[in-house]
Amino acid sequence: MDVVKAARAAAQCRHYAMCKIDCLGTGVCPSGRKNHFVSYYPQGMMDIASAALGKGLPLTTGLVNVARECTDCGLCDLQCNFVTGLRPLGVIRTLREHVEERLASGEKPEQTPEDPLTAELAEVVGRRWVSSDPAILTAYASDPAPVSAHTLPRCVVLPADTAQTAEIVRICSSREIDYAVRGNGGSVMGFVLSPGVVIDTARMRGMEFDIPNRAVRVGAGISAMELQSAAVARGFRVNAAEPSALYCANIVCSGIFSLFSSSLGTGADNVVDARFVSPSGEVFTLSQRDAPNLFAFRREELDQPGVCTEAVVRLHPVPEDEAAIAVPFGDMRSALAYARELGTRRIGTGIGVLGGEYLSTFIAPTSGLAERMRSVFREDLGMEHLVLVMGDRYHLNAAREMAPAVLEQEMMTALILGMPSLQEDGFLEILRGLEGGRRPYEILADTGMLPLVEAALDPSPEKLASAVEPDLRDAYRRLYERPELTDMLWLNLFRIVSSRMGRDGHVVAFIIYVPLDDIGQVEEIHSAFADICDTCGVRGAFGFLTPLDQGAMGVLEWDMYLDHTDPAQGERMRRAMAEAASMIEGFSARDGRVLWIRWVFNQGFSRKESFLYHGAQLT
Amino acid sequence: MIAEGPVLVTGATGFIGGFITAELLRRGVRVIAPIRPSGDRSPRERANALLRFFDLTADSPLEAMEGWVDRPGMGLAESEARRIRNEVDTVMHCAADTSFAARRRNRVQRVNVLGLENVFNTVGACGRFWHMSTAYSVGSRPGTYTEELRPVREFYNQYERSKHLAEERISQLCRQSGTRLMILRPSIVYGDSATGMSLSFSALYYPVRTFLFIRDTMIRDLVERGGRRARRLGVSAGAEGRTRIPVRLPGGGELNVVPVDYLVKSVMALAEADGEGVYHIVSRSPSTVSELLEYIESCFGITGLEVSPDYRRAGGALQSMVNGYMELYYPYFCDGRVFDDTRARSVLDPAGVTCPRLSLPVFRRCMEYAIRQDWGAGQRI
Repeated sequence: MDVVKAARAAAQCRHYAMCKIDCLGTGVCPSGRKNHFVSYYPQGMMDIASAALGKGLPLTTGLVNVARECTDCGLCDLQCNFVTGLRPLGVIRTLREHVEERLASGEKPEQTPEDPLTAELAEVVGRRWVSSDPAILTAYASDPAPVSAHTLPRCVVLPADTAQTAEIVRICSSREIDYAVRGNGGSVMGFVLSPGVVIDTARMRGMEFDIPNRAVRVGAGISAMELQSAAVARGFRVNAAEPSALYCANIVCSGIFSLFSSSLGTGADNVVDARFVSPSGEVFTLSQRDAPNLFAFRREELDQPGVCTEAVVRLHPVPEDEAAIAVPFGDMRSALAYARELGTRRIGTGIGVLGGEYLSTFIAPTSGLAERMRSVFREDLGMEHLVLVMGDRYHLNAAREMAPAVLEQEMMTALILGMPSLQEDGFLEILRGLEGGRRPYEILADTGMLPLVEAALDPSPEKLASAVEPDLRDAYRRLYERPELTDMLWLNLFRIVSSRMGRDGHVVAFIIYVPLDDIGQVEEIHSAFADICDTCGVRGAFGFLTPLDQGAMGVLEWDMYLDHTDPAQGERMRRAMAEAASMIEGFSARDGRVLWIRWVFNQGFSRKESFLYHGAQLT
Repeated sequence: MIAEGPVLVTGATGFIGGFITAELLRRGVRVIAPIRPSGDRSPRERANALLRFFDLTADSPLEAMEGWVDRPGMGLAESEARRIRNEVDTVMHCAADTSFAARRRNRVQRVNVLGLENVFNTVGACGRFWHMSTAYSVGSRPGTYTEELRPVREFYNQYERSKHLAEERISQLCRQSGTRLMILRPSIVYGDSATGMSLSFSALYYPVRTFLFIRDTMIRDLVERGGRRARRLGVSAGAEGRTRIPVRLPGGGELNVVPVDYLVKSVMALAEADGEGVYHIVSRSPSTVSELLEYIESCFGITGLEVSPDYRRAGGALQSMVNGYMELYYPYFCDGRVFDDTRARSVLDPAGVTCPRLSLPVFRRCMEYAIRQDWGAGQRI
């Protein structure tokens, strides 16, 4: 690959860390698994390539090692393409060629000068697990968030356990060195950057199941995907969010919310206990009598309560007959009312109102197909929103009874695998021609339409794979031969497609807790976001809403998108973010129950009752 | 003489407006056409595409300008609007939204009623206003309707209602301004009976297209994929390349359809006669659903389509689709409304303008044209 092209492609990395987990069941980057530093995973290599092939990096032993550790297995190409449409392998090969050319030209790799801090940290964790090599550090220096500035840390350290973490924190504290704790790649909000020490929790990979107590002890280096996979293998599930997010970090950050939060809750709901290293380096557990009260919420900007090194979280049994249905709606109000009603009646193990942007992006394997699907859903099928309902057969029967129209799993499978044919042969025109009082999606939802849809679209893994680049088609075909890749329940359990929302650029997500007794207000918030996007020239869309606490409240995500490598878009996004912040606080001032997640940040262990109803707290 | 000066035609890139524009140009009448840009095509490019479609030369007297009927002032600069008002003595208003979809209610109202007002207020009060309406603006009650504007409350859908409201509004506006108004009410319009040409493939075409789609899809399933889905839907291949699609349709009543060439000739004759008031442009020998099914079988080898009064009770996905379609179009396929066209005939008979019946050859010609055009997919105007 051409160096300029490779550098440009490398800069597009979204830092979603999907290359650090086995998101497709095809394995994990061997170089990363062996070395643990982000720098050895494709994500880190992309950052290093961007720097080395762009402005340039000194030839260090770290750079040489990173380039040579890649086994050229190509796992990352499929993983990254599946999520973002990018192809890291060519970039990494170009990086390796660049390094080998410099070595061949006689350039000698520099040894990073000894730093007293590095030496002290090495005594704690071992020489292998601390680095101040500029190449290694480069993978910890940036985040695609428009508010974050490139910040090269002084060193990065990977503790193996709580004791090592405590020792590191004490060293930083005594030397008054700033530190940041990093999970699986980035917070995408720039919160994991530090000019001092970055503590990468990747090596704390303990996971112990306590089935009699319906609990699992999870180390700070375990991702949601790993935890969920292990739980599902044992007939349980955990409440987990983004698959690549490290589970403990995710709780600390904001509490975990997912579509299953409608039944499993959020915040402290799923926490049994957790172990922390305090900012002064002391170790405490939540169950300790004298532990800080992390269960209480305060509407203040708070620092991290400490480094969470492990947590014990609840396991939930999974009904054998659990499945999912999709309930389409032509307007937001009806979709929200339906989701709220399900929540109120405690129907469903998981509920989510999805926007058309989300849905089309998730199910389409390419950006172009997603774009077409957006128009198909909205214009051709008349579907503005879709409520995804998961549950056992009793839940789903009730949800069907309450729904105006239902797209069953088989129909969704046909639509996903037949997607490339949806706009061919006049099928959509036929559906559109039937539209009167009933929207086309309602016709599609008619029982018995499945054979016609299947015959028209001829859905198959090959058909879907035909939409991707030719050399990846066979791999995609094999992927989509697995039923879980079109199973709405599985896809929500593991959320491997939700990172596709970053395929067209970086995402800035606005997450707000909203009362659902005032759906008009939710619509107003939605319109206000849309207006801001129009005014600022930013692309944005409703993401999802999940009812919480029996439909009393909901967690709403509204997303704005940008190409983070385009300064002009970054500037527009900063303006939009500022306006959105002011807009959200305006709604909060009017109705105190509207709570921006900004205020929950670092208070993820608080009880949901404490933050959802903070207006009722004793003063 | 159709018009002294140029005629302003709205909806000139649409089906009826396009055919009328072409005929005016053929007769040497200068046409001014406000046209929306569409996608990457400018109004002029769309106008050129229209000329090409009708085999008219590029130097035909067609002035295309950017204009929107649903925007105040039609989106024209005031100086431009003034120039047109001064120049034009006749407006032929064909622009309309014919959607029956409930979600497009506001748009249908905006285009068909507010759009009409915009056009009139911008360029309309210029002498003569010819308003293309529909026979179905008369309301939903069965019975005979004469060529006049009468108050109506009940309609089958928003489209009919909007066209009725438009008739009321334009009558009021023309009365107030002293503009000579002609309201043209065609029934369902299909392609040119002599050539099959059309710019729209909905209405009469839609059920044919649907049955062909089902036939082709199911044949593919039967031939290439084992036929499991076709069998579930009860579709089977018969002798001599025939395909059996077991579906029942309603019978009774009439289907009043007119070819676009008849509509165009009628408009020209009425214009030459300087007509005023309401004219029904309809067929005196309407078709029936049974006839259409015979045509479909004859042209496309599709059997199994039957007329049955209890069609609603028949089950299956295909029947469900047909029933959904009939929810919308039953009033047109089994119409109990009769449109008296005495006034129109009094002009058209002396002019020798007669309505060709939808015979099998005409049906075949129109449908074959539609298939060649891939139901409009190949046309970009």
